[in-house]
Amino acid sequence: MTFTSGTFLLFLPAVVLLAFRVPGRRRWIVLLAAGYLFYASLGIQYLLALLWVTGVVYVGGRLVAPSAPPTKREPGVSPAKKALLAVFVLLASAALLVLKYGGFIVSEIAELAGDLPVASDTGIYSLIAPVGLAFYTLKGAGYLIDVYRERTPCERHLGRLAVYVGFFPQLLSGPIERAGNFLPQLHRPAIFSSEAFRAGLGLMLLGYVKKLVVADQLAVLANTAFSEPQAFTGLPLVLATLAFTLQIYFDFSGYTDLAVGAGMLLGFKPVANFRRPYLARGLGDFWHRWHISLSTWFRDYLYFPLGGSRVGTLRHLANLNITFWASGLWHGAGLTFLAWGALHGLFLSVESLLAPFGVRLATRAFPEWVRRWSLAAGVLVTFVLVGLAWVLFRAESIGDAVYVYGHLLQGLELSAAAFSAALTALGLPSPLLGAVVLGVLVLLLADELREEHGGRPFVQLLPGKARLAVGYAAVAIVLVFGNFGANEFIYFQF
Amino acid sequence: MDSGRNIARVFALAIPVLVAIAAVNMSVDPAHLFRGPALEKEAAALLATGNNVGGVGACDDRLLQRYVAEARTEAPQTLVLGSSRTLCLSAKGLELPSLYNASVTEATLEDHEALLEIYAERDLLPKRLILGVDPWAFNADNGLDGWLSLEQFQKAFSSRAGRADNGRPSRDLFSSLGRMSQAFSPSYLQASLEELSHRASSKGDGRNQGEVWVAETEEGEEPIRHPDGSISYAKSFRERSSATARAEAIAYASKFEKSFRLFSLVRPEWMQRFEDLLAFCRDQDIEVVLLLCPYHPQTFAGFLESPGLRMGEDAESLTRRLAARYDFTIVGSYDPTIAGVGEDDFLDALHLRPEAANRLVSQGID
Repeated sequence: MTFTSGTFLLFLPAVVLLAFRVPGRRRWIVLLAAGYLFYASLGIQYLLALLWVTGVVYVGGRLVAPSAPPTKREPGVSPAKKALLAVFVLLASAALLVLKYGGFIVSEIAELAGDLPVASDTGIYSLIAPVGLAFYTLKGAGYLIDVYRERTPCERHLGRLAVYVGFFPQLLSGPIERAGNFLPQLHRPAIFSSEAFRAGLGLMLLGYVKKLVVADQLAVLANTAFSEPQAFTGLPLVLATLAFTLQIYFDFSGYTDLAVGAGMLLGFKPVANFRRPYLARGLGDFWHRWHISLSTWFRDYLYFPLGGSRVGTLRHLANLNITFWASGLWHGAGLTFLAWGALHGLFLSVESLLAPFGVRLATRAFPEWVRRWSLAAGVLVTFVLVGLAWVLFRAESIGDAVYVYGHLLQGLELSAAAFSAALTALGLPSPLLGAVVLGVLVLLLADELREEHGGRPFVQLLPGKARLAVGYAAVAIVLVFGNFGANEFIYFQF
Repeated sequence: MDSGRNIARVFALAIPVLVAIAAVNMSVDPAHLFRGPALEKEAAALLATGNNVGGVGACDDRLLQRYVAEARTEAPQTLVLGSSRTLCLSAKGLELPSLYNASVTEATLEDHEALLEIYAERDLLPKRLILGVDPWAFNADNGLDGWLSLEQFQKAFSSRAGRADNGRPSRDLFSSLGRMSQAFSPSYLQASLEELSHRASSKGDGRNQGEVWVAETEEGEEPIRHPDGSISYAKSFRERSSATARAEAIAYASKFEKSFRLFSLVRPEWMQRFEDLLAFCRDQDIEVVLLLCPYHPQTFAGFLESPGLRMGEDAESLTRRLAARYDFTIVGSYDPTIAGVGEDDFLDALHLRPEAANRLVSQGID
């Protein structure tokens, strides 16, 4: 069962009805049962990893929590608690390290060791790595650190903590919500708000349009080219790169809309995860807008503890690069993901070194139109750089990525005939492309309007009947143009 | 109003959508899931008693072949399995009186397996098999699922071949539940809408009537199925000019062929499937003639210019390799030049005129 399966469309209303029907203090039981049922439907063995992380985080939270209020204890950090924190963060991450990175590490060692008798069957690790493990591991580790830092109180109710770790809308691909936001909502009685409920439904519909109508059709272009890039040069590779750049946004932000929307149906407040990322004016700005719950996680739990930017230039650059290498590896156990993270680290290092010159230029009295155009150029350059970096993310090997980079401009012909031929070769008929382009534009406009209205879907601003009509129209669009093949959400693999 | 009722009221907004989906799916029913097989049984009975039959376009041609086989009392000397590209091969054209053509549209390897299984189970296997090999049959992602009408036979064949996908036939309860769930399936809705659009564009050819009839003549305005299983095309199709065929071939080459989608190479398990099929025929002492039906020269040229469409090349080399290994005859080629056919031999991008198809196959028959 995933968000795009028919079973989920029966499962969700049943859970929502139950969650509001049971007394508030028992709501956690419904949510926990729903989360475990949802996860078990993907593979009952996956529950083992979820139970492990939940158990470790629960015990660890109790142990690292301050034993007395600040006023009644001696100031300073307790070395014993700090050591316990390190042990429990490591234990919580153990399943992720073994199941996700075990195969990668063993195969790399085997390659380095040459003929040495190192275990060669690394496939077993990837076979049993549960979907969503990387997400709920970060949630658990973040909770432990927050409890240790006293930013969130220790949750003493095992069931409620288990709901936080295994909350089904966020279980597979986030958002990586902080315990400090989630747990207080779980403690309060659920209050039904029809406005929030309708907003949640609207958000879910938007998510389905993004995923099934736009992302999955763009996937056709990207999949064809990236499955065998050596068969193409020039325009098809450019189109495939552009297609993947858009696909990953609509796929993942579509997933987020579905997750947040489902959470809203259950009475939880929305969490921001994307803010028009492709309108970013620089790489730093991009990371404030893309997968916000992940980038803030790495910022708060890795970058800041390393010293962040409040250190010397070299140390700051090292902190940036370490954070992005870690982010790359978190996305996948492979050299392509590591290279993707490293490339973003490099981009941000350069941007950070050039930033003082930019400030100096900006303070000079340039005409308004120059400033405006320079901002637009910044958006374009950022989009191109991010898109080029996605090649590493999507390519099946470093060799494939290098080939794509080397052949993007080779024989590049920009004519209607070349465009049509490239689309044919990539497997998307021109009329369908028209529908997809229209969908992309409408959805980008919807994002824009949502941003302008404080994160509320613009449909919410319409009168009741118009809202209903737009809702039914969106359903019809999904039903007629949606791709109901078995394309998983891209972020499930992480 | 309490929250429960409020929530139920909002979810109730989905009811009209579900009703609409079910209404379209059950009334159009492109895969014939919701009506019984009465039409196919009637058509099979008419064919078995030596009649030319019209209106078979409304039938599920897999089920039709099943009932034809079940009505047979003796094995055909020659059996043809293939897609619409081999449907025109006839007993008369090949001068083989005991030939039966069991080709089905958009055939895949699963169809061939299921049909062979039906004939094997009834002890009706032929002495000779003419097997049309289409390139899309090697694409695991071809999206063609007509064979599901014969799923139980396909699974039985897999079981016979000792393959991992050798599940037992689905239990009736589960297959009924699965069928009912299709009433609300978005994918099935899309197939229904496609079917509706197809019916609208081919209005008047008898498909809308949902009935079959005995055709008085061998050829008429509409397609006719003959007792030997071969088909006579509709008049408008069989009498089209080479220029029209050429225009269609060029248009076909420029658009993406759906069943070629996502193909990158023949997967080893698909090669194994095909080899299992050939090994089965060899073990049953069936003489196999492998037929590679050519594409229209314009279409083939278009394919050569599309780097993403190397399926034909892969499928042909694989088929030739296996034919040599099993010492089976092979005729034709996807390349029309190698197959020795020209533009005048085609009715469209991928269908030969019956006389050209029969001539091509005759080369492989003693």
